[in-house]
Amino acid sequence: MRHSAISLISVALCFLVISAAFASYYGQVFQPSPLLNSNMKFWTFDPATNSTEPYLWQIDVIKNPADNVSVYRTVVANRSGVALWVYRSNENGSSVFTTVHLRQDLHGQALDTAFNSTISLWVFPTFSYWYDLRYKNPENVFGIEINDGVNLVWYVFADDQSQVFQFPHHRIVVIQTPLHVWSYRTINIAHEYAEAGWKKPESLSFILILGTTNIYPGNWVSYFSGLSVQTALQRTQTLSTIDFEILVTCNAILMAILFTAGIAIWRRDLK
Amino acid sequence: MRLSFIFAAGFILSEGLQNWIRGDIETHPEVVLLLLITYALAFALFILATMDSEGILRVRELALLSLVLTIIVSWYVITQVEHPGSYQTDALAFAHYSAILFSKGINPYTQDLDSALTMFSVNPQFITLTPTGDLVSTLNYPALQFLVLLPIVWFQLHDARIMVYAAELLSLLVIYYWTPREVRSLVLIPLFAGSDLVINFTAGSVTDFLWVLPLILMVVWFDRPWLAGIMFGLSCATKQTPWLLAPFLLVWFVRDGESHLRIVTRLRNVSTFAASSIAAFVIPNAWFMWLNFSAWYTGVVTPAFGNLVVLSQGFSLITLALGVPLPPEFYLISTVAVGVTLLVNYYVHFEKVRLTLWAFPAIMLWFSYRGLQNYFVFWMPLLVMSAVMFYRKRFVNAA
Repeated sequence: MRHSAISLISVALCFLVISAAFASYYGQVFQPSPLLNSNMKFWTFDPATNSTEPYLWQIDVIKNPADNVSVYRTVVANRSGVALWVYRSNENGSSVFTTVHLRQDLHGQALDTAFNSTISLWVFPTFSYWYDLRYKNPENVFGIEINDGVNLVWYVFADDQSQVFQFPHHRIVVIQTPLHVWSYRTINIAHEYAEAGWKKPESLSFILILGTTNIYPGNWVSYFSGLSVQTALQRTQTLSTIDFEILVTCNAILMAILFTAGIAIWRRDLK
Repeated sequence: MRLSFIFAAGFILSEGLQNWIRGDIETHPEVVLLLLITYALAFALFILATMDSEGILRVRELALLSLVLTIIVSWYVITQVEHPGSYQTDALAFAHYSAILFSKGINPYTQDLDSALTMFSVNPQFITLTPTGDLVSTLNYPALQFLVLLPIVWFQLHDARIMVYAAELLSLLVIYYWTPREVRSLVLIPLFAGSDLVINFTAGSVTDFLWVLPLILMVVWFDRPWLAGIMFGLSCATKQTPWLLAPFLLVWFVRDGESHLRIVTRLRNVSTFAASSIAAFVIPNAWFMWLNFSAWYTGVVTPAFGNLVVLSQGFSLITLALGVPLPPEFYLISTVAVGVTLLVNYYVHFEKVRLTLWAFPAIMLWFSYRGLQNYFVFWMPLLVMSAVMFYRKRFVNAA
C-alpha cells in the first residue's frame, strides 16, 4: 500500500509540475535567427557556378566581361572571416557598378524576427566611401544591403563621418568605421525603415555587398566576420482564462482518478 | 531456429532491394555481384528453414552469419558507393577531425572544427544549428569519442565509420555469444527488427554503438561492480547519453541482493561501482581537463544543456510541427520531472521492474526538446542483453 501511494503521489506530482511549467512557459518562444549559417563556417560546392559558396547563402554578381569578383574564406588580423573581392577593369562596359553580393532572402517569421532584432557583425573595410558630391550618388560600396524589391537600405562601413543620404527609394547610412582594422557594428533594419517612412515589406534580401564603379577601377577587397542576430525570448501569447481553467480541470480529473485508484488499491489490500 | 532462418532471409531480401536502389549498379559491378550473393543467401535460408532434416542443426549459426554478412554488404554499398568519403552527420566529422588534431598534439576542445564539415563533405541536412543561426562547430563529446578513432588516423584509413561498425559487430557478437544456445535464434529478432539500428544509423555516421558496446559488457559483468563500473565509465566517456542511467544504476546496486546481502556489502558495491565509473570516465578525459578545463566542460556539457534548435521525434513535436509556443526550458523541466518520477518508482518497485532501467533514458529523452530517433533505438541492444542475462540467471544458472 505504501509503495502504491508513493507511486500515485509521484505520478500526480509529475503531472502537476509539467502542467505548471506548461502554464508558466506557454507563449515564451525563442525566435530562431532569421539568418542561417551566419558565420559562414560551412561552404558547399555549387556545380552551376563551378565554385564553392557559403551554405544557404547565394552569391550574385554584376560585372562586365573584363571584370572579376570572388568570395572566399580567409583570416585577416587574427580573425577568420569572409572576403568580398572585386576587380574592376578600365574598360567601359554596360554595367556601371561591378558588385558581388552574398545574399539570404527573408520572409514570414524570419522577416518578423529580422525587424524585431538588431544585427551585429565585425567589419574590416579597406577603402573609403566615395560618392558624387553633387547628386550624392554612390561610386563604391562596402557594407550591407537590405533590398525589398522596391526600397533599398545600404549600411556603408567606411572611414567617412557617419551620415545618412536619403533618396526616394534608396537610403544610404554611412557608419564611420576605421580602415584596415576589425570593428564591431550593429544595425537595426526596422529603425531605418521607420526613418525612411517605408512600410515593412512582405519579404527582403539581406545582402553583404562590395562594389565599385568605372571611376575607381582596380582591386577592392574588404571583410566580414561574426555576423549574428540578437533575437530575444519573446512571449508571443499567454494562456487564456478558458485554457487555464481547462488545464486546471484536467489536473483535477487526473488527481481524482489517481485518488480513486489509491482507494481501490487500499481496499484490495485490506481484503 | 527455422523461423530465425526465415526472419533472416526476409531481412536480407529487404536489404537486397535497398542495396539495389542505392548501389548505383550500372557503374558498380561489384555491387551486382554482392546482390547476386545476397539473394542466393536469402533463398538458401528459405530452403534450409523448410527442409525436413536434422542436418540443419549443424548450420544453426547461419542466420547470424547471414545477417552479419548483410550488414557488411550494406555498409559497403552505403559508405563506399552511395556516400563515399562523405559523413552524414557532423558528429562523426568533428570526432574524426578531433582525432586528427589530437594526433598532431592539438587540444580539439579549444579549436573551431568547421573545417571538418568540408573535409568530410557533411550532408548539409544533418549539420546542427544554434538559435543564433550559427553552426555547431566545436567538439561536444567526451574525449573517448575521438580517442577511439586514433587508429583510423594512425593507419590513414580515411573512413572512421569502420570503427563504429567494428563496435557494432562486436556488440552483436557479445550478445550472441552470451545468449544460451536454445534462445540464440530469438535474440536476433529484436535487433534486426528494422534496418535503422544495425545498418542505416551506423552507415549514416551515427556513432552510438561506440558507447553501446561498453554498456553491453557492463550488463554482462553486472555481478562484478568494479568491472561494471569501468564499463559504465568508458561508455560515459564516449557520449553523454548513458549519463542518464547513473541514478538508476545506483539504485540497482543499493537494492540488488537485499534478500541475502547485508547493507554494508551493498553500500560497498555502490562505492566500488561509483569509484571505478568515475575513474574510467576521468582517465580518458583527464588530459583535456588539465589543459583547459573550461573548454572541456563547455564542450562536454553543451549537448545536454546547450542552446540548440528544437528538433525531435518526441514530445516536442507539438512545438516543432504544431507550433505550440513552448521554449526548451519547458521540455527540460518535463524531462527532469519524468526522470524523477521514474527514479522514485524504480526504487519503490525495484523487485518488479529491476530490468526496466534500460528503457528509462529513452523515455526521458523522448520528453526532451531534442529527442531524436537514435536516442531511443540504441537502448534496444541493452534491453536484449539484459533479457538474456535475466534468462541465464533464471533458467540456465538455476538448472
